[in-house]
Amino acid sequence: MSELADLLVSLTFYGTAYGMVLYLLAVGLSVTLGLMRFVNLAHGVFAMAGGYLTVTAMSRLGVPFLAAVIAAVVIVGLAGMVLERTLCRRLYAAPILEQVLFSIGLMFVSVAIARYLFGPLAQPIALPEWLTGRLDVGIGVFPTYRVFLVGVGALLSVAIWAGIERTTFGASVRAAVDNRRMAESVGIDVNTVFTVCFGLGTALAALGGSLGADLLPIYPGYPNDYLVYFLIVVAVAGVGNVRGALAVALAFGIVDTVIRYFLPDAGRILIFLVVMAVLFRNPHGFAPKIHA
Amino acid sequence: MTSPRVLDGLVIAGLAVLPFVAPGYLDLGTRIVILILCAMSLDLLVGYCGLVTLGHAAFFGVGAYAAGIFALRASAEPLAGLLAGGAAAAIAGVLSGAVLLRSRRLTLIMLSLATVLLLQEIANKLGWLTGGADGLQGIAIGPVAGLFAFDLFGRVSYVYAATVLALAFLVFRSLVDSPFGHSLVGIRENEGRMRAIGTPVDARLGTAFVIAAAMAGVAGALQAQVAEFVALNALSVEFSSEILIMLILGGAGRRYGAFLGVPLYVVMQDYLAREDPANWYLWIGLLLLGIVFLAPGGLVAWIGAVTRRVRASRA
Amino acid sequence: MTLEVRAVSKQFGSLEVIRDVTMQLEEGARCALIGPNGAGKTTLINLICGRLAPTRGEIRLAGRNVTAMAEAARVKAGVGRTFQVTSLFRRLTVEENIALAVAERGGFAGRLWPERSVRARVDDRVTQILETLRLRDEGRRRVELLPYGIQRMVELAIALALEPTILLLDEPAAGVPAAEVGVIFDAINRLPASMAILLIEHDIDVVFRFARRVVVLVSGEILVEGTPAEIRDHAQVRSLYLGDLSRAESRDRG
Repeated sequence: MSELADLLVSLTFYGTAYGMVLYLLAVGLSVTLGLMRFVNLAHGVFAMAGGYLTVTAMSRLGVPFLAAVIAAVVIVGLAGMVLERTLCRRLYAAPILEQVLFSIGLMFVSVAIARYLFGPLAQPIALPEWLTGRLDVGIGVFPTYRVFLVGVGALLSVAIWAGIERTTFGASVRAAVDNRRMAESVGIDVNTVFTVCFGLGTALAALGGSLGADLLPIYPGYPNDYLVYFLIVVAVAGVGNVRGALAVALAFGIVDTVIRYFLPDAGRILIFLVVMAVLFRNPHGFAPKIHA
Repeated sequence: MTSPRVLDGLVIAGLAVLPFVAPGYLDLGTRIVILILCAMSLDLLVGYCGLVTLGHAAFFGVGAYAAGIFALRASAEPLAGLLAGGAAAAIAGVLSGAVLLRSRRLTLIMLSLATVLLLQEIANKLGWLTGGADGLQGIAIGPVAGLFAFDLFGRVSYVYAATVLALAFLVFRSLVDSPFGHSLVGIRENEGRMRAIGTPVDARLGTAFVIAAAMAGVAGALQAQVAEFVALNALSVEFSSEILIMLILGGAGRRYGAFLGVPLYVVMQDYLAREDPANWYLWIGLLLLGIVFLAPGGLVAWIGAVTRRVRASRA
Repeated sequence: MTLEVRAVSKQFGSLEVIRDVTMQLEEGARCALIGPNGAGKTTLINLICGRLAPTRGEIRLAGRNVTAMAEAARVKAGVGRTFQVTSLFRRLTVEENIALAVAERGGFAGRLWPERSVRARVDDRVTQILETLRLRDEGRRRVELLPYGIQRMVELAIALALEPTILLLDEPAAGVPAAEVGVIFDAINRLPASMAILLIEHDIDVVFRFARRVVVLVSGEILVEGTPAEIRDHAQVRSLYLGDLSRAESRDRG
């Protein structure tokens, strides 16, 4: 009996680590969708870019892991802001079809560039010394890397919550989500709010991509293959629902891990059916008002 | 503005005339015809209902597999196989529509992706039925209606596929010109207002969804019969994206978008596959970005704008 | 009784926007709903036509409990409304806008094939409605290119095309230039006598000329109901509308 308990605890833990990565990947998308109503299916491109930058910095320039991740996150965040100012902004009022085509085009171009620069295979990532090995966290002994993911994810979710609920900027974001025109007339520079949020969203994606590189390998198919997973998190939580995104990401990570362990053949089929059943009951996800 | 009647007639005439004008290109022609049928069915959803979906390959694939399995296990007669493919896809449309159509925008897109991936997984796992990753092979198709056997030159294939497309086009234009079609456009333009005038929005969209699914299923069935093979990637997100791109190249919601976009895409793909195969995604990506910012209505809109300008300068 | 609202309340989270509202509209009613901004007038309309579900209470149409009925079904049951913020099919022409409503009303909007005779009937009815609102010349123009006043008239045209038994008008002439206000209220005054009309309006002149009964909604509750004269003389209402009422009075006397 205690073996089963150990197994479930273990699966829950691994699921949580996976869920944390998904949360980082999804939360930026949820905010930009809730804020700008901009459907950006190319969100995975920023995660992939973060992963590639980290790996390149480490292997070609000898930069240590954390520094490489931070550098990648900053670079992708800035690039995201530039993209928003130049291209994305022009599509906020455009029909959803054009936004989708834009993101598909962006994905195609990025995938082509990635394949050209790095080849089609997954990038091996050499985790630093202090992340290899195992750690005793009370309820069990797990790979240090996974513990690190859970820890960073938890910290970031608190930071994001604090950022949205406790800072002036966060208040501006909430105001702009609620009622853009009112926010503008109160003097909030909504355009800058959009740009910064977009940049933060892409930076978080890059963080998820870099930190999660050992879990979700970095290769040119990344934006396509993992798209559906962070879309699931955003859709089930409800667009713009940041707190919900954490809960859904963790739930998804755990359920997916458990299903894959006990029913490896039916894995993907079952998880999609579960998601469809959930959305059948709650088409707008668990967020009260905001629509995708 | 040239009346749709005349243009519709030209489309059908064009289909009929091809074997005489370009007899060496019948295989290519058949392939284009099948893809036009698929893209036209997607137009009903994307162009007229305003529902952006990346899951249309699901219906094409279900139709293809259904027709292939039907030929292998029931009857090699192609018309019966078309019916099987269309019916199977329609059922898939009813089931997936029940889930998908309760949402819009991102959630709808995500569910459409999940549908294709789900079906791809099922097809992969049920190897004994579908051939798994190797695809469904060994399909032998009998003569159409017991009379017209497929020949080596692809003539019968082309006439068969083109006739199906022509009939489907007549159905499509009838739908689009009908009160039902007009109400779909209303739903696309302002769903809330449609509810406020008493439209049963869910039922209308559901009907359109099933019709589009059935049509895509027929296209898939044609593909299975003409190629006598079904590849697993008929059920792929990549193929869904391709059909969408073909459609918007021509222009969504503009009646002839599929007829212009598909040949253009296929010709471009053939050309680039020869000249610069490694960079296909790069060029297509740039093309998409170009369309979004420079020509959002696709070829049909562009031609319309040019003709208007020419007329204006002549007046 | 054509419309009954029984003890309807609506809460959004902890905020109660409509509190225990009870009112009726009889056949041929000419009722005005007035109240300060934010009183909940549009919310009440949304509750009646089914866009919102009440937290408590009942809505009845011709005696039938329709509280659980969806918006589209209630429209089929005879409820028509206009929107305070114009909600039209902007990229379609005026004729196409009205035709959609005519087709729904006629019950053939779901037909999967085009029919010339149906087309002709729709076109005739659309022309009729355009004539009523003097919009004949604008018929072929796209709504997004039209001035706001004309758009408000198209808003009304769509509601009329539904031939409702109950018509809910949410500030039909708000933001409309003086010339067109006359046309709008002309059309409203020529509506069938059997139609029950609830009019949300801020212009007190209009209220007194149109309404046989006035309901005053303040902070989600009905303050008072009565004839226009009774409302005008009501102390609390006077203090709410002090300026407007005094002007109306002096005009009457002078």
